[in-house]
Amino acid sequence: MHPLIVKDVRKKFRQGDRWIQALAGISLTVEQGNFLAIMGASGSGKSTLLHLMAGLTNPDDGQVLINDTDLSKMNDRQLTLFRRHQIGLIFQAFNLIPTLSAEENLRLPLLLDGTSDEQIVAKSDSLLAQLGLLERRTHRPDALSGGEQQRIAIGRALITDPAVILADEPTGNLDSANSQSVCELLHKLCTEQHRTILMVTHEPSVAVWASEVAILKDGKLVTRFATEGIDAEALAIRYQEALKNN
Amino acid sequence: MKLIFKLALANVRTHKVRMTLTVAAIALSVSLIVAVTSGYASAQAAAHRGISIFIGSTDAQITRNQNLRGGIGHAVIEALEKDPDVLFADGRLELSSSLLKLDGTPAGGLAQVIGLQRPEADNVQGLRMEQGHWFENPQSNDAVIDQVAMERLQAKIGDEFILPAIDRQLKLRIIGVVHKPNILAAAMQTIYLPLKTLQEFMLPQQSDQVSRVLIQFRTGTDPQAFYDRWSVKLPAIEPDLRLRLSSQTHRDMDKNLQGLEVVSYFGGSVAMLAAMFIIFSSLSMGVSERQRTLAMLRAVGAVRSQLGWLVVSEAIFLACLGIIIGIPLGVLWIKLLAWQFDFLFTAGGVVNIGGAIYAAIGSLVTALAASFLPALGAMRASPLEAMTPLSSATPNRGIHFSLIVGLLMLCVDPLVLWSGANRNVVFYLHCILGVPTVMVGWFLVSPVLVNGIERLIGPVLAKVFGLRLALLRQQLSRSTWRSAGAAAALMVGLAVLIVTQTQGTTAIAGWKLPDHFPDAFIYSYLGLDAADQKKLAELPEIRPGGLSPIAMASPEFGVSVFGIAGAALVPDATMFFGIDPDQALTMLDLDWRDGNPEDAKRMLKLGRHVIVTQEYKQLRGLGVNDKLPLKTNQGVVDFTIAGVVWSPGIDVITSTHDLSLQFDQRTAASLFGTLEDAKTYFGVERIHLFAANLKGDVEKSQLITQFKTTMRGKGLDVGDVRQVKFMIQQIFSRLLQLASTIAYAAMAVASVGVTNTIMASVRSRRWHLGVLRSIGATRGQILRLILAEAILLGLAGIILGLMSGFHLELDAHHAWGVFFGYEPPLVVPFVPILIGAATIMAVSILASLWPAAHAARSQPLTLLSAGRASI
Repeated sequence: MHPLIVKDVRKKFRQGDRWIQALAGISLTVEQGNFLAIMGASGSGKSTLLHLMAGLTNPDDGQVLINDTDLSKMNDRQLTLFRRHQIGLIFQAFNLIPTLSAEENLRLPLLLDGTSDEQIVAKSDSLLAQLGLLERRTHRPDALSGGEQQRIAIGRALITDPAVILADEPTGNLDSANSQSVCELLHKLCTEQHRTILMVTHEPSVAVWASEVAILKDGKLVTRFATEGIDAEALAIRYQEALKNN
Repeated sequence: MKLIFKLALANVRTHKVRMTLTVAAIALSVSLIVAVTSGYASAQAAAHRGISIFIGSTDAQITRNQNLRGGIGHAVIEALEKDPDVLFADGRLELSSSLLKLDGTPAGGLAQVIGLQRPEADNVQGLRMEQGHWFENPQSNDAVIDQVAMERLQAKIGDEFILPAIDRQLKLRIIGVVHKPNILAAAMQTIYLPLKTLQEFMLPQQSDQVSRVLIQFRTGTDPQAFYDRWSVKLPAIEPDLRLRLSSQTHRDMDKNLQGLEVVSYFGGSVAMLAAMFIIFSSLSMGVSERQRTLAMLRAVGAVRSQLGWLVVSEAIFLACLGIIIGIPLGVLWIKLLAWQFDFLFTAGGVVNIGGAIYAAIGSLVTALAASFLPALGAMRASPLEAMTPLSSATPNRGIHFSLIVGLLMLCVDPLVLWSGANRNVVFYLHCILGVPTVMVGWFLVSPVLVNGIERLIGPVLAKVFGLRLALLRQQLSRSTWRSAGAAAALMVGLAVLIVTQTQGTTAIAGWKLPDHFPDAFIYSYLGLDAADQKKLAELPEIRPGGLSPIAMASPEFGVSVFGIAGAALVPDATMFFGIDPDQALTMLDLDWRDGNPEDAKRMLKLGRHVIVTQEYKQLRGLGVNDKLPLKTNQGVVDFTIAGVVWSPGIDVITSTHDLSLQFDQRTAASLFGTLEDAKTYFGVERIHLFAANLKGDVEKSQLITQFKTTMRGKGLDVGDVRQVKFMIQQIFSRLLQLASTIAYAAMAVASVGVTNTIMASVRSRRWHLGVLRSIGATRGQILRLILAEAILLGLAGIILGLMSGFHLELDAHHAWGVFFGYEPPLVVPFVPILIGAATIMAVSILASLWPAAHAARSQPLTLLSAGRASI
């Protein structure tokens, strides 16, 4: 059983009076414990692909399977509950609720699920400790740094032990130091906890933390390669070449 | 659910000013309901107290059945005194008369004169004796008067004054002064004197007669058993008497006050309606501003219903806060009013628990209703929105669908009213379904209307304010639902103002006097017997043959004519005026709608015939030769209709002289029969009302003034119909002003909503305003921009208010025809409506001043950083 399988998905959008082919038949499989970075230029379809994998929108054609469950077969409520339990989402803008504390933000999916207080406390305490934010637990988002906010958002994505974690430009709103710390965290989750992570980014310095990189161009997957032994600079060159040659 | 409540609470905490204003609107509407319904309860308690004080706190009373002022013989009192359950039976003679100083000049207006026996009537001692003492001698000329009468007579203890009658006078000596609540004493002073003295003076031929018998039971008496026993016994002693237990008197009075109670609840509900639109507006703002949070919640697994509950919980929370603050505030209002106007609230401020419960439940229902659309909006939040770095503007979803639904709802009330269905069904459908659908319908139409107003009037305002149209183009439509909520809240007050003012003005304008009308009406409370009538007719001031007696009775109908099942709003009794057909129909040039004077005179003289007013024709389709059953002292008797006339307003004239009776027995429309029928079927012996044509060369108003003085000297009251009409119009105009306070209260509630809307609008555009200021927009331009927005909102409220108000008014006008049979030509009072519209505009502009000034004063950088933080 693969945590994530994308089979020949296609999606087009209407923009003004013309149609845009956002995805033109993409297939990919992500193994358990794999950390895949999806790269591409603006408009390449990487965000659309992430939205499809998160069940936020449906493909015109093709299938997205998470733990062998076809997302297109579910109605809105089933999809919502599936997202709650099986998909961890990390946003570029963190999307923490400003009126809740760090701890409450982290617990959000379990609170929505009506999980018992004991379970919630046990899980969130352990996660806060992992994230190094135990002492910041009662702070509101506006009292946290960008990196801390994103770490809370990552904690929120992890708290239900989802099948996959989908991160959309998780370092897009962070400075380089905080970016590095978030990347390290994601890498650690993959290597130490065998979490399956799929991350959309256009930064080679971020993508290099993944175990594999997939490059999209004009809605198609142009290449996929392992990052082992490659540094950020080499990745950037390879990325440019992939875009140029395809 | 815990999380949902937490999020709802957190949102309330975040937007403190907005939520405070929303809670203020709810609390204000709740407090208005509590205060207004408690005002009614206080008035009711004061009325009950009044009954206890002036009639005495007795267990039962006996009066004439159809003619409450008719005499009751001594045999009744004797029989009652023999009953072992009766502690005492206190016969009283009550009348109203002018009082004269010793030099013969009248002292003030009419006084209530009560003849009573002491010590049997010691229950009057519930009145506080200010000076002197009660009379002990049953045949003395001693009198106890109230403090206002004392003042008007400019007398002191031991002084004398005169009680006049048509050809005689009674000199009375003041031996005591009692204190009466000022408002009652100012309207009608009271004189107490020994019963025997008054009987011998007023009724020398029937000096054992009283007008009311008050009965006090011995301890342990079962009132109902007494009632059942005496209901059978009484007709055998004297026919056509009415026994009522005090509980029935109170119940009947409560029933008669029911209209007032309904108005008190209606007034509160109007304020609640305005609050509903404000809650809607506030919740809509919340949903619109939190699109990103809602989208994120959806993305991380919140189901749609959870987001719906989030909005509903906020509404419930706000309503609960409003209730917690509003109820004590309402209690405070009524206590303050009772303290400030203690002469009016004689029983103190009584809190209406029913009103408080209604306010609490009403505000919860209102909040739930208001949260419906915003909750739907929240449930439609797309999780994709969370993935975008900047939130997009909330689309104005569903405004065209809402327009269609709104237009359909606007058709409901006219369809109900013009359906021609059963009156009872129409009444309840109109009240329960019709009126609410008009208000909600116009609210649903309002978003499209608001956008239209912005497009049409925006360019004009831009020119007037020296602004670029581009800046003003989307002031309201960028958040149409929020603007629509505020405009709808403003609409409610103006709509209610239009209906109350137009209905009131139309009703009074519809009362058109006939071309030939008697010069004056002479009124005798106790009534004149044949001998006194003759003396009156022979007075030199009255033209020969110019005095026409009018016998009055207030019978109930044999079948329901005006009544509406389950509602005591419309009385099912009538005023019967017994006249001399030849004389009266010559003096009164009536407006005939069916039949003619000659045939009517002929038919009336046959007996058991009546002339009816137009209401009977409109409501029941009754015309000449149709039968109208009336409850008489001989059972239900069919009277044949001899003609149909437009109401000449005699009943209104009568009621102004006889308010106490109206309190006891309310009547609708009028009937004209003969003096003989009044005597035969309703036991009217003495005549209370006379139409008179006067003799004299001087100008009519001077003639009437002189005549009035002469008649006062004889203990009679005189009304010139034109003066009476003017007085009624004055009273009516004051009542209209009172009713209009409902509208102004709704406007006060709405002002909170407008402030809210403008503040939220400014808040959501801080970044935009910051950019404008950075690129050179002056403070004045920012100020004008926000003021222009407020004016657009005010205009939207006015246009909505005018449209909904006239829609409701047309429905209400037709409804009067359906329920009361009275549908005079519509008269629109433009001045009060213009004042209402100006008030709305003033409310809008005032509400915008602070947010506008604040935004204009802020530094560009402050606006930019505050604005960016909220993105």
